[in-house]
Amino acid sequence: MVNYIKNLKSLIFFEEPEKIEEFILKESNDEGKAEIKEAQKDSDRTPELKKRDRSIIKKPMSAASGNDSGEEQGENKEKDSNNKHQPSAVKPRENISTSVEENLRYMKDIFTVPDNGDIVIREFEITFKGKPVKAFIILIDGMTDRTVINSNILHPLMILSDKDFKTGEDDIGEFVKSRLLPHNQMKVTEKYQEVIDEINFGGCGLFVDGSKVAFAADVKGWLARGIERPNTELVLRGPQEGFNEILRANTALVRKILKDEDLIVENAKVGKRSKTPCSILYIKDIANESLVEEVKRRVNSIKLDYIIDSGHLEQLLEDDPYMLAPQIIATERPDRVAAALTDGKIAIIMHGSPFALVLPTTNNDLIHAAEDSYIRFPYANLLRCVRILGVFMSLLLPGLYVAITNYHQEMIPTDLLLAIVSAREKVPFPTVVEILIMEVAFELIREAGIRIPGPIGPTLGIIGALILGQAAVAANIVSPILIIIVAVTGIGSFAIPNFSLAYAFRILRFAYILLGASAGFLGITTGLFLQGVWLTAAKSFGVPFMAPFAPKTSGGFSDEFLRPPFWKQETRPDYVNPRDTRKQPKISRVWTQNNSEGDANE
Amino acid sequence: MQEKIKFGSWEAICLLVAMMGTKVILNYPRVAAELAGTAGWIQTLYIVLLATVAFFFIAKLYSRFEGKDLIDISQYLGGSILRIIIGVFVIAFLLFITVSLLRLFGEQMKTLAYVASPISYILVFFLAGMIVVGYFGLEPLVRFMAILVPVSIGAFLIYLVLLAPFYRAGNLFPAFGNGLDKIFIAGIPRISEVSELLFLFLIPPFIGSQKNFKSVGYISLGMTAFFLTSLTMAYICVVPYPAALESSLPAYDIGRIINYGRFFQRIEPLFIITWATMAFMYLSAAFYFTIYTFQKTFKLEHRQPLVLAFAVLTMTICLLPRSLMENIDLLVNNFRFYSGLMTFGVTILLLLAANMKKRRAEPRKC
Repeated sequence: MVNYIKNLKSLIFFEEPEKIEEFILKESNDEGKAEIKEAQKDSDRTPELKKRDRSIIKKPMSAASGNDSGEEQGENKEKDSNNKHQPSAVKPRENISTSVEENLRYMKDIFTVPDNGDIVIREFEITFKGKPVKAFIILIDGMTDRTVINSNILHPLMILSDKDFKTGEDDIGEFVKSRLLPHNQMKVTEKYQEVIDEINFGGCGLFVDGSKVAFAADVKGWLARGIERPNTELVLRGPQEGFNEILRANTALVRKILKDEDLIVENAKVGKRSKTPCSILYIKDIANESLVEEVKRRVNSIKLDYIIDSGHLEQLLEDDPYMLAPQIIATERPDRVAAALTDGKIAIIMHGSPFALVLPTTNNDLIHAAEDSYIRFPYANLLRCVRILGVFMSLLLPGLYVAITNYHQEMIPTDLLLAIVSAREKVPFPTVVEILIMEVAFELIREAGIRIPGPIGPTLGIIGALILGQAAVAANIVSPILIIIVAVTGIGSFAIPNFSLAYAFRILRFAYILLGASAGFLGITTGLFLQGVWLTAAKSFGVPFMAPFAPKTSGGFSDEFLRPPFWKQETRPDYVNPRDTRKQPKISRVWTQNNSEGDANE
Repeated sequence: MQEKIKFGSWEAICLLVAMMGTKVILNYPRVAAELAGTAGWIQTLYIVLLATVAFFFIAKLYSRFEGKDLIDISQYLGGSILRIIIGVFVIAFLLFITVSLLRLFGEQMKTLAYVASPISYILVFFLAGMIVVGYFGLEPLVRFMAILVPVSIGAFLIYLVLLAPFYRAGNLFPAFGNGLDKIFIAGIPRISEVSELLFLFLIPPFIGSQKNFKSVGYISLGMTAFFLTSLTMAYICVVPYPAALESSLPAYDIGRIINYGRFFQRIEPLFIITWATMAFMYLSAAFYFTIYTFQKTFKLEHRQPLVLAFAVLTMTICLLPRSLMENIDLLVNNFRFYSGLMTFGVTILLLLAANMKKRRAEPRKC
């Protein structure tokens, strides 16, 4: 009874709610400090310097001009390395202490032990000149190989150090390095930061009392995907291997194909905090020197905290971020990377990404598939022509349909015109609305097709077929001929081998529909002209995007648009200015010559 | 101030062919038929031959000024005053052809397929192309032209081949049309039909050597002669002389009769794409050079701020003629009679004077 009255009272009278402490994400003390510091730094700079900075960010400089600022960069790099990220509570230190206790304390602070659950610290003693010496190893559980640590590091240090070594070494660091550690990849350093970086990337840090150096052993042992077939670039003929997420596995895949000691795999790190390892690959006596320098300059000058995938790197490296067409090729095929390297191009492989970046890129590269060079040249040329047809259909077909039906009906043969008119008789929308409805529906189905979980995938097919096909026509929302147009457009876009380019065309297609609806062929020609000028003005790492057609370079049409027989592909692309222009001699099939035997012996 | 860009001979040839040959899709064949009757094609050849002779002398005089354009030469000859005088003349010339051709292309498009649309609406599309090129600059334009011109030439040749069944060789007779005097005497001022050769005298800084300059000039004049003559001849062959005087869009009108079977007919809307492409090339190049010359004449550091101002100016002047006929009258009966004076007359006089000054100056140096 009392409860009833209480409830009634609560309905009528206001009662102050109980005070519950809610979670509020507060700003940390450090937040914004960096920006304030940057702003202060910025305010100290003169307007001229600020202007120059802006121009550097917006416009990629040439490698030559970049050399001027190279020293500056070097200085910045030094400053950066001195100013590495450290937790605000820990005072950053540079050189390793000879006291193992001090080192242990510092490492615990740095890795926030014991809060960090996956940090493993193992303390032990080794014997040096008959006396026990304190030591410890530090590693991240899950990223390292336990067996290697046990057999190559702990076992020799703890068991073998007890043996009577006939050595006169006084330095314990030197003793450990040359006598006790049989591990093949061992870094000796005096800097804390280098050990920390190694530990973060699956290494094992070793500190020994009395030694002014620490050791970082490469004992990476995380689980990774194996070498599988590439998902986005399937071929009928040619290698079936694709990159995975492991940097060294990927560089090895390329080396395995090229087998050339002139292939250079330069290391770089991107990301102030993540320090993601990347490799810049090029063949030193083929790739243009200034191009290599420019790529290195751009990669090394990137400043950000974390980088996850080569997709990020691509967006940070490209010349014109606002251009719709991609300016760098992302491929998961090692053979494609290898082929590009032999042409004098450069590849960047990033740890954690199964997509390598190939640059510079021209419009032609985007419609070439890896398979083109493995199959005989007439078949390859047929496929290239089909792809170009696909490109035009994907880009222009809906726009042309709208233009013809709205402005240029006279060019439709009478029978076809009557068929279109009778099919559209009951459709209440104008053609442009009709086509936009279908294109949007198609885009939705395409996007849903990627996001939908596997087991319910077929359902989408049924829904798509019903919406795009029968139901839309039966409901008189669209005409049957439009279904054909949208379907053919979709098929055309699937024929484009580069998925980034296909995205670009999907966007542009809507622009062409609107242009076709607003001014027929004149509108479409306007769009093509503007797009053409834009593409011709674009550059990928200093190479004109429309090369070898605009500007025209030697052998452009025969080598790039169509493909000559393999034995006639004698030169490398002119537009990348390779150091060695010739790929093979004029007569590579020496057996076709009468004196081939003699030549072969020679 | 000057752009540090270079382009090859092929790009320069494409630029000049586009500038001199584009009139073939406008009213040129009818004008030729009007002046010389069935011998319009002979007069066309004669005009280009005259221009070639004039270019021969200009090339000789230019040999001492490798890599210099008209503005540079006038600066050398008469300092800033002469540079500005010549610059203003060139700007006026370029602005006039930009404006009148913009209106003409717009009106042509309106007649072809957009009868219900206001002219200003159609002009906006062309203007968009001109503005974009104004911002992007000459390099992408000439490179893109090097792709578009061969494609346009291919389309033009297909067009001539498709017209083959409709040619009547008898229409070309009487061979000398309205008489030899109409061809050769009245044809002299018509040298202005190729007055767009002036662009060649503006691009030496971009094409470099004198050898390139000469080869670009001769090849582009030869190609222009081929296009103008072949279409004028085709037009006269297809349309008998009296009817040939009636068409306002000769190339388009004869394209309408192309007919191969029941399915392949009325394909002339496809030519709109070629027509519009040629119009874009012509107008954007003329517009760019107007701004470029203005920038160079008045020694301005940047070109970009001029683009929108000139676009507004062009659009405004373009709409001043009350009708298409008034525009054609200005272009055909006035400009095409006197513009040759600018391209050939002023250029030769300027070069003669500059050569004399150089000849006087050189011995002193020795």
